[in-house]
Amino acid sequence: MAPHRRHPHRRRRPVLVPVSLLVTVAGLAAAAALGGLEEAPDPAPERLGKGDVFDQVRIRTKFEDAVVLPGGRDGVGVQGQRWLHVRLQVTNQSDETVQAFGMVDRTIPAVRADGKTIKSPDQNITDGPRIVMYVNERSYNQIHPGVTAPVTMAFELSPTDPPPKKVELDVGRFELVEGFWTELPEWRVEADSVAAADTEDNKARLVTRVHAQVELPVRVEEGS
Amino acid sequence: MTGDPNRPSGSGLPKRRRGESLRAARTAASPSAPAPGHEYRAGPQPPAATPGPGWPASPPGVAGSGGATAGPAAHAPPAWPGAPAVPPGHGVPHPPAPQPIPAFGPGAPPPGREPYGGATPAGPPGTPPGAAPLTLPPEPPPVPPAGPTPAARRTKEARRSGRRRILNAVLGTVLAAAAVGLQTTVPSADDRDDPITSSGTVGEDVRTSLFTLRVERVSLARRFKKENSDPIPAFPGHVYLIIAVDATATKRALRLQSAHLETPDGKTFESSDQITSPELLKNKWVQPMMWTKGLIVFEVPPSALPGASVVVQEQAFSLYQDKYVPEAAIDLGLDAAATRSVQDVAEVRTT
Repeated sequence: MAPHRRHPHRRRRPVLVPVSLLVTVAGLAAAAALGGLEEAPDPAPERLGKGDVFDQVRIRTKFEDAVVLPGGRDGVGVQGQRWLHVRLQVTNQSDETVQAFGMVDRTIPAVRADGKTIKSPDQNITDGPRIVMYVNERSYNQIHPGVTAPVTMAFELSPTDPPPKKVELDVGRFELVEGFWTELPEWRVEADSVAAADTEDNKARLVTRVHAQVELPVRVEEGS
Repeated sequence: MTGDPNRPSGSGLPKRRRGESLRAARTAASPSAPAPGHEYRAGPQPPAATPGPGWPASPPGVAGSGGATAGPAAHAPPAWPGAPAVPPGHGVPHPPAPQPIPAFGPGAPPPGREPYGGATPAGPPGTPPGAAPLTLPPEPPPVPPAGPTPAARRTKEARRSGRRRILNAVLGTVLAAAAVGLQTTVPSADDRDDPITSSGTVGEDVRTSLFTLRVERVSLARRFKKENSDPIPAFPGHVYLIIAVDATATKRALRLQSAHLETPDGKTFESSDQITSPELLKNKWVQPMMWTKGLIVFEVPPSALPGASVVVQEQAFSLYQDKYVPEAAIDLGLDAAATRSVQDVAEVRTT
């Protein structure tokens, strides 16, 4: 049944086409003015220094110090060695106990000493730094909810080479996501997938997204 | 077919020729003479059998008691002056398409114009030749003599159909509400993942499907001393929470390797990984028909203690563990006052 019109013989103005054209053109113009349809680049990592605190959602880390110590100090190494200690204060902000090694190892994927990479996400766990929580002359690993614990990331240095002047850390962040299978909230380190063509060994992988870069001056303690 | 004067007009208006105004056509058509196709021409009426009470026979001369007489059987002479005269002995000057060749004698109406089939009886003398007599509409279906009047029946049926409609609407609404309500009973992801918890208090046997656990004693200490070794101080700001339990299995031997402390605000604290002792519950086999003593040691900040419960499960961690694993959750009965009575050293002797 045809709809009743109030004025059956009045011709309606063609509005739809011009208005939709106008909206389309305006939208394209706005997109072009805001940088086009390309994906926006990630914001540059935050630059942090000695004593700064970075919130990584699940944990919170204070970057205290970087110091070269002789082996055997703070539960790391033996005498005759030389170690670079990156001292952190890690606070567990979640509701469950976490392991210090996993927290620090996963959220600090790369460390450079004077521009030379001394920790990378691709290296074996045995080639990586020692991550210790040395308290009361005991090595702990558990950090309970709400507890702040001193965590040291230690790199063995060559006994003959001069110690580095500065050390730079890439810092990532956790996020709470819903698990695909379990549908339960799970902690995950924020990461971007990199296609196989963009990697050196032609293997696709997840690369931790760097939210902050921390630069610490290295001091050398006597005896090292 | 535009100029066919015999073409029945559905509107009842007189047929017009091309160029003739409606007014002129109306004037030409006498009021007593109905429009072509709507007039009643006397003819041999079929004998009306038993006309029903609601269907009185149409009096002769009335132009159709329904639309039936306006059918193609109306062969009316042209009702306007100057219409082409139908010569006697000829049929319709412009016959309709399905009309066969007139093979009948003069005056005989052409077959096929009779709407209800059968041979059309010859018209009475006096009718113009070629004009087919009209017939009455068919007999209406007989109305059952007994029962209420049709009006009452219609009212009753309308009422019944209205009631049925309301009932259907109510039923549909109830079903939709029930479907929505059932959605609230769907277990959430948490429900599907959570273990089956048996709860209890200190000194009470807490039975699960796999084991029974009883907390015998709860103590707090700043240092933990194993036999023949120096006491170990707790992590700065933490205390040792030492729980002595008895456990027995119900079906098979098992090891109760997972224990955590759960606070009222939902935080969970893992048992200490610093204390290693054969006296720990996680290092002992728990067998059916035997009670096994063991210790569970936590190293936690004192703020986690008030209202806390110890939760014990079989496995510490398994990627493909069963769902709905049983666990025992035992309220330790610790309040703020109890957390202040911390002894200096808790000594554990190897049995």
